[in-house]
Amino acid sequence: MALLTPFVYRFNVSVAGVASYNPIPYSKACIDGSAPSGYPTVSLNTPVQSGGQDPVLVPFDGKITRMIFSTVRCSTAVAPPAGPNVTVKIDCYKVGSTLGANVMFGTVQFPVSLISSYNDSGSNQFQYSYVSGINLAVKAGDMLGFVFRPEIGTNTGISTIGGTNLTVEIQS
Amino acid sequence: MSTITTSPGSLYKQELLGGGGIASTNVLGVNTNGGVDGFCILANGVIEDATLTVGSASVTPASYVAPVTLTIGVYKNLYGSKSLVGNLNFVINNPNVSSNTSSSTFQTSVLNDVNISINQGDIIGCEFSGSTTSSGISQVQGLELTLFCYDGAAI
Repeated sequence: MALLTPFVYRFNVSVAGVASYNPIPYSKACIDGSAPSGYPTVSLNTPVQSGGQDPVLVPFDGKITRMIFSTVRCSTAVAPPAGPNVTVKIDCYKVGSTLGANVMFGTVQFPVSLISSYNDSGSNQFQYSYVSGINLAVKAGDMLGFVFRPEIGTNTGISTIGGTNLTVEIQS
Repeated sequence: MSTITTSPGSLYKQELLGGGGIASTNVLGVNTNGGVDGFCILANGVIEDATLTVGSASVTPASYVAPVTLTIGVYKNLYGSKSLVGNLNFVINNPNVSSNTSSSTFQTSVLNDVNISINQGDIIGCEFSGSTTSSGISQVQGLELTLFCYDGAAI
C-alpha cells in the first residue's frame, strides 16, 4: 500500500499478567495501582505461561519506531539495588496463518528501575521505560502479537510483575 | 485501543466504558461500574478533543428532561494512587426518546479544546462519574469514549 502522507499508528496492549490471547478484563487496578485483581501476575524467572494479548492488525506498510513500557506493580523477594533493576524483554510476533505458525521478528529490551522498593513486598512500582530508534518492518495486514519474555535463570530480586502496559508506534 | 492519524506525533485513542462484560451502568453511579484500562502515554502532549457515544439507555420518557450531562473522570496513575486531572462533561441529547424505555439512543457528544496535559510515561485512565441528576435516565450501557491526544502543546 503506497501512502503519500506519513501515517502514525499507535496502539496499547498488555503483555504480561493477563491470560494469553484472552480479552483484557476491566480493572481499575491498572489506573489506581491497587490490588491487581484483574491482572494475575507473571513470574520473571520461569517460562512464561500467561503473557500476551489479542493480536493487533497493522493498517499500512511501515515500521515499528517507538515503544513505551510500564507496569502497575511488582513483587520483590529482597530489596533490589538502585538503578536499572531488570531488563524486560518483549518479543514481537507476526501471527501466522495457521495455529502455531507465529513468527518472532524482533525483541525490544526495556531497562526498568524500581520507583519504590520494599523487602518482600508485592506493591513495588517500576518506572516506565521508553525505547526509540526501533526499526522493525511491518506490512499492512500483519497481525502483531507482543509477548513478555521472562528472565530465566536470572536472580533480579523481582519475582513477579502485573498489570503491564505497552504502547507501540508504527510509522509509514 | 488504537491510533491512526495523518499527522506524525499525534494520537487518537479509543476506549470503551460500560462494555466488556459490564452490562450497564447506573447513570448516577460514581466510579462504581464502568471504566477503562489505563494506557501509557508515548510522548508529552495534550488531550485536545473527546467524544462520547452511549450505546443504549433505559429511559422513562415522561421523566426525561434534556439536556443530560454525563461526566467522565480522567485520571493519571501516580504509582500506587491515582490523581484526577480533569472531568469531561458530555451533554447528551435525544430528540426522540424511544417509547421502548430500555433501548433509547443518544447522539454522540463532542468536546473540543479539552486541553488536559499528559506526559510521557503517564498511565491515563478514565472512569464513568455519572450524572448529578436522574433526568429520567436510569441506566446507560455500551459507552464508547474517544480521546484525541496530540504531541506537543495545545493547538
